[in-house]
Amino acid sequence: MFLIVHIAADFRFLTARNLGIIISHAVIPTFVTWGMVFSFTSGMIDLSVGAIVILASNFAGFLGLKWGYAGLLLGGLAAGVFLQALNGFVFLKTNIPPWVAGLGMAMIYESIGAIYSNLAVRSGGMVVTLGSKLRALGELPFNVLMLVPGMVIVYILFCRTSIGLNVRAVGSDLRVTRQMGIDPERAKFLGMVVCGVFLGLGSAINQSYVGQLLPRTGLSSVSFIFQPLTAVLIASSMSAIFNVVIGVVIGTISLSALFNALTLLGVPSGTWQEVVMRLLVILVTIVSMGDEEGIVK
Amino acid sequence: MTARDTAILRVENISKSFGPTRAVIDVSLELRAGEIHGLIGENGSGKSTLLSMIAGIHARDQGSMFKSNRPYDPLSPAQANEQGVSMVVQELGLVDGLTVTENIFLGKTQQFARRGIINLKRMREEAALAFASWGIAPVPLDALAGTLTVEEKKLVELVRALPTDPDVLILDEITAAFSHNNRVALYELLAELKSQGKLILFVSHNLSEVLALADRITVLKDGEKVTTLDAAESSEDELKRLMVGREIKETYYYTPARLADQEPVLIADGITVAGVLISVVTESSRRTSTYKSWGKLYMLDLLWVILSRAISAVDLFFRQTQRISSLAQSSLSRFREKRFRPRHGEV
Repeated sequence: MFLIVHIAADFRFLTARNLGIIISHAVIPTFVTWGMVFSFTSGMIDLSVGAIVILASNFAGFLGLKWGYAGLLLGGLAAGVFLQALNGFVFLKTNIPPWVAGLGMAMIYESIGAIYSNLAVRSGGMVVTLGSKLRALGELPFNVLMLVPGMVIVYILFCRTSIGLNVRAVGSDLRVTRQMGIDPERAKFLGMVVCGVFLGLGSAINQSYVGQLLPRTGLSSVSFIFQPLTAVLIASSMSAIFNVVIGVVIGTISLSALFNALTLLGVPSGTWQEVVMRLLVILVTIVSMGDEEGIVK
Repeated sequence: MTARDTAILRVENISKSFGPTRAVIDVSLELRAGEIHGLIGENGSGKSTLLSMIAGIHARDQGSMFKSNRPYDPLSPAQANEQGVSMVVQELGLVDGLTVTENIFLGKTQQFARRGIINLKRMREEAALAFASWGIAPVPLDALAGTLTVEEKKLVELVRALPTDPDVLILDEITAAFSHNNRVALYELLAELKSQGKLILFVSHNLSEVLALADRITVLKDGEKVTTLDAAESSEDELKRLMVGREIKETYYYTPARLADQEPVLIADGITVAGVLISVVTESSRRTSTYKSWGKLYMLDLLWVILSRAISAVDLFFRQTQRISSLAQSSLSRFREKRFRPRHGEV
């Protein structure tokens, strides 16, 4: 299939440069998806992830301009963790279904971004712009190199710590988990905080990659979730073969390759590519739900 | 007075209601170290509720409990566990999404953690050792609990209850799921635990099994204690009479109802919900009158599961009409696993 695309795209698909671009484009969604694995696994379906990434990217850029790469990373991490912790608090204390509360939080975060943007423009400036500074983190080879320690950390946190174990347990069976003496609310909250760490890292890389990220309004940030969501579903459907941490990487790189191929084949981005994405979400959902069929043993 | 005569656990005038239903009414028990104590009664007699209160799953409404003459008031199974009381529950009690090893040590992983990182190898070794040392048939330690058979799940639950070295082990109808070999292994294990001075609270609907294993037997009926008697001086007929409140001539107080030749048991075909066509055909299964009498409830429950799935599916498929029999089938499978636990036969 890759060869067919390669031939159809005038031999531009399977080149070293293009493969580098594909992997490079997968880095940010990979970090976001790793984060979402922690929140979604525990049942906290948070649709404000996109709005958080936009806000955290701007904050990362803001601190980055003051303190360099340290500020970039610190800003992303601080904003990601704070906003996810806030979401966790709101979700758990209000008892509103997380996906509903998440939409509300997305609107709030979008509004904060819009207010900041308006203030910046009124004062004669613009939203945080890195220009040519601090761009290495978002470009080859540093962005791809970030995947290696990222994967190790996610694996350890998800598979080898009580945080990850409890998150998985809570998401699978709340009743039994509670009976085993685990506080489900604490487990879910910690899952959200860990999610914030990876959203923060993704945001820092994102800001470094794009240089300037304009705020979105009208819940358009929610569309940001589709690619990570599809990657989560791909990872889940492959869980019998690969650990979910590796499955996420395969999922995001596959999606990146798909969009890259569509672009090379002349499919306009933003319209038909979005349609392909939605169809893919449906397809992967069907596949992953199909795994649940079976006979009682 | 020997250690065996010592009351390790005292339950005094304990009661529990669920809404208007009085599940346990003013029950008192004195349970001794080094005994196997059988607890019997018909369905709904309050056995599981009573045991759940002892194991910290449910809070009691009134009454008091003492363990080794000290007030005993567990707020959770984990607290009961810390005080030496472990229970293997009647319903399935494993987290399907975790491995066997993770299930055994869920909530107790600190002992394997160094700087917060769990040593999976050591945890697996401990799990294997637990199976071997108690003579319980091994189960694949890296398998997800959701992939195990009901018998394997019960074995894992048993192993999970034992490493804490409990003074009191509560087994709520676990032998029904066991093969002959595993049943024999369990009887040997119980004898071993008894010789170590442990109290085993044992629930089973198999009266001959209870008579053979237990030293004393307490009979419950409609939430109230009928009596406690020595197993050696009792008989199946007497136990049946005490459980039901009248003479029973049949071989068993249940009369398994044979469903007529009406396979499949459930067909819900052609239900249309928000543009989604659902078609469900179940396998046939042997069920007892218990299920028959609860059929309406289960049916409602099942339909709710199907409807929920259908509505989710509508969301996902952008309201396009789809045939989703596979979704309904998977819902049915999980529903049956959770709700259709047979007293006789198998699903």
